[in-house]
Amino acid sequence: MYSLGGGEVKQQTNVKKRQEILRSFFVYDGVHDLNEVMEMLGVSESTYYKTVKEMTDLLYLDEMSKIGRQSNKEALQNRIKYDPYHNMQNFLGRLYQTDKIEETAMIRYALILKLLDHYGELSTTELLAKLGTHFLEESDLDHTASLDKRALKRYVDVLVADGLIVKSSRKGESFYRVQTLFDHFWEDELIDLHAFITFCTYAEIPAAPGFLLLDKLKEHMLKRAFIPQEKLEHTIYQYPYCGRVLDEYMCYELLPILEEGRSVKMRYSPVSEQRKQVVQKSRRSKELIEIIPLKIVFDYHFARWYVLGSPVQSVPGEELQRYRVDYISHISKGAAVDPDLLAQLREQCASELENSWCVNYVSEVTKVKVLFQVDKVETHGNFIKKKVQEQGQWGQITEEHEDGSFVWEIDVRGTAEIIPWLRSFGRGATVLEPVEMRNQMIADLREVLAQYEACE
Amino acid sequence: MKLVNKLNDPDFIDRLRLTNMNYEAEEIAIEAGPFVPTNTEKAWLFYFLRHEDTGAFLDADTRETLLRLLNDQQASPSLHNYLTEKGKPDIERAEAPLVKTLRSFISAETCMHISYQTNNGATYNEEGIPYWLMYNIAKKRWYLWWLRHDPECEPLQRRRLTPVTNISAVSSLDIDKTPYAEELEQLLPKYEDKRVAALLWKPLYENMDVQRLFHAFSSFEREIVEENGSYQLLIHYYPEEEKYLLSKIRLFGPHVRLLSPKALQDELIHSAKMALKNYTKS
Repeated sequence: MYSLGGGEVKQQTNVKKRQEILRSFFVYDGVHDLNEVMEMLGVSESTYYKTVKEMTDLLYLDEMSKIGRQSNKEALQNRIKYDPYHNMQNFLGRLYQTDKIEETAMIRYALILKLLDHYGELSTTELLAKLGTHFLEESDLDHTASLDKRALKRYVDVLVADGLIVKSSRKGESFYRVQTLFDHFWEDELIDLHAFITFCTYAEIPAAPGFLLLDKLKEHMLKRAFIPQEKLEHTIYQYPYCGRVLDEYMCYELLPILEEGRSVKMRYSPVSEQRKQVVQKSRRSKELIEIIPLKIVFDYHFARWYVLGSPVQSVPGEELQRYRVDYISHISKGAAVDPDLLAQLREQCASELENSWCVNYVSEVTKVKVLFQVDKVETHGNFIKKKVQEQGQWGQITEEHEDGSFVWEIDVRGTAEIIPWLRSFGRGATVLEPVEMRNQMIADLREVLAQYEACE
Repeated sequence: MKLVNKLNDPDFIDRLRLTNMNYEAEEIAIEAGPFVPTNTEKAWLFYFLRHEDTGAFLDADTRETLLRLLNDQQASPSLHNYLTEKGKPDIERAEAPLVKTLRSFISAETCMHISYQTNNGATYNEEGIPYWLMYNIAKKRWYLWWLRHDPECEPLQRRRLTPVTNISAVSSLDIDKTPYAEELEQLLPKYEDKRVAALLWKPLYENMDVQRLFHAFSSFEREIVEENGSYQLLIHYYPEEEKYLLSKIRLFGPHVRLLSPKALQDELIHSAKMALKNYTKS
């Protein structure tokens, strides 16, 4: 049985702590409850305040002056409020910069990179000699002077493994050079690349690595290529789900487990308890479970992450379980899964996801028939039709009428999830079939009207 | 594939910013950096370069060079291999080349000649200065904020927001942009213009998840007020966001009640009445 090392477990706990504090400030704006958060995370008040301070510092980095007279909590809260025109950066991405490097290691890594950057390719011997004679700050010498060949190897190996430098061997000696990326491009190209990465972080998933990349590219552009900041400001992004980036941490932790075809042990707060009308009230009860993870699902409608998996004790053919990623914590690798079983489960997973509008437990497929009507067809085309074609997944238009109205059909597992989408069309969408769904829509509309009549 | 990597520690990055190094008691000037991405970051970029339409952003040459430099990420594990995206809008990206041109105009503060149509079909050929591109993530559409050239008219009345798909042509114009410069600042929607909508969460079923509601409106500035165990969401929105806000509120059907503003509430009631009429007549 394989499990994560102590360091990784500690990192996971730390990131989870920061993630939940950020989430709590972001999602529960106004009802963020210190006691709830402490209880959920199992941390003391001093740890809570320490983490809030840590995150505030990280979110303001070079702009500490902007904190002003606000408390750390207020400052944190204000920083993560997104406003398309005035507060455009998604600072939640900073969660991924929270791992600290020990001082000696930091000084050594930095000097190695600086030397290779300045002198170009160096052999181990040359690098070692230069480390003994160069420093960035005088106090560095205490940390770098004592380096020997073996110790140096440990450092360069990490830099090679993470892709920051490249190693080559000639005549029995190893040579190292920086693996440059941004240096290969002109100013205009860098501006374009910056725009592309920014776009992907807002509009695509996953986005977390993009935030890290963007910060480095920005550093490169401002400090190394001397491109003025104004050239990077040209686009406003409307309606991003900034919070979705927080859950990507667990998804990336699951990635090696999925790659290796293993089971995963994790703590999970069951959804049934969560679905009450409370904020975080029942998050304490966390079951320890072991499952075979199969797919990660992202639902664009509500910007949520799920994992589909099979509990290790379940019998073949049993329905797979859907887990909310934000309710998962403390994951560790389990045993390797028999390849035949894994293949079979993956097939089952694909078939359970087929024809489902997002993520649910319904297996029966229903034909839904909807009449879409338009007020008037604009010169630029039928906007409702365009929206249905773009967002209607695998549904098909089966009838079109001269006035621009049309009938759309879809075979879907469970009708509950598709209803909110249809409601968003207002009077534009009328359900024709099935009759139960049609009646439900009518009852809902009556309920809406009754509410307002009652309050008038 | 480490997402949280100690080599992204801000103190470490800060150290790489240094532009002096000491060698035998002498200071030598060095470049800031190098700011090098990790494999996880490179693999991420490699994936999107291969799978996303990059036409609105990169020249073919830039893309090719990037792909070549990142080629060692070919075999990197990708989250996408295990990912199913549900409900991702499927959009044609016809506006791509124009977006790239417009971005370069904005970066270089270039004035332009623009030919466009309005939604009712009228065609215009005008001069002006583009100042912001706007991308609506929900609709996956590009828009252009620009200022029409007309000295007779107040800046706010010359402000235009045009969907990029409605633009048929743009070309750069060598005219003096100075008259615009001061005006651009005041053109973006202002905080003070924001309105507040109050939405009460009143689910019909006991087991409904309030987080879904908080999450759905998370792209707006909002506050949650808890009163006797029920939640009210105060949503701050710009007047031009009203339509989108309404469609979001409608999504929750009878499980929410809009308390204010009255105009929005009327709109909601009207649309529910019309929808019900559609059911009763068919």
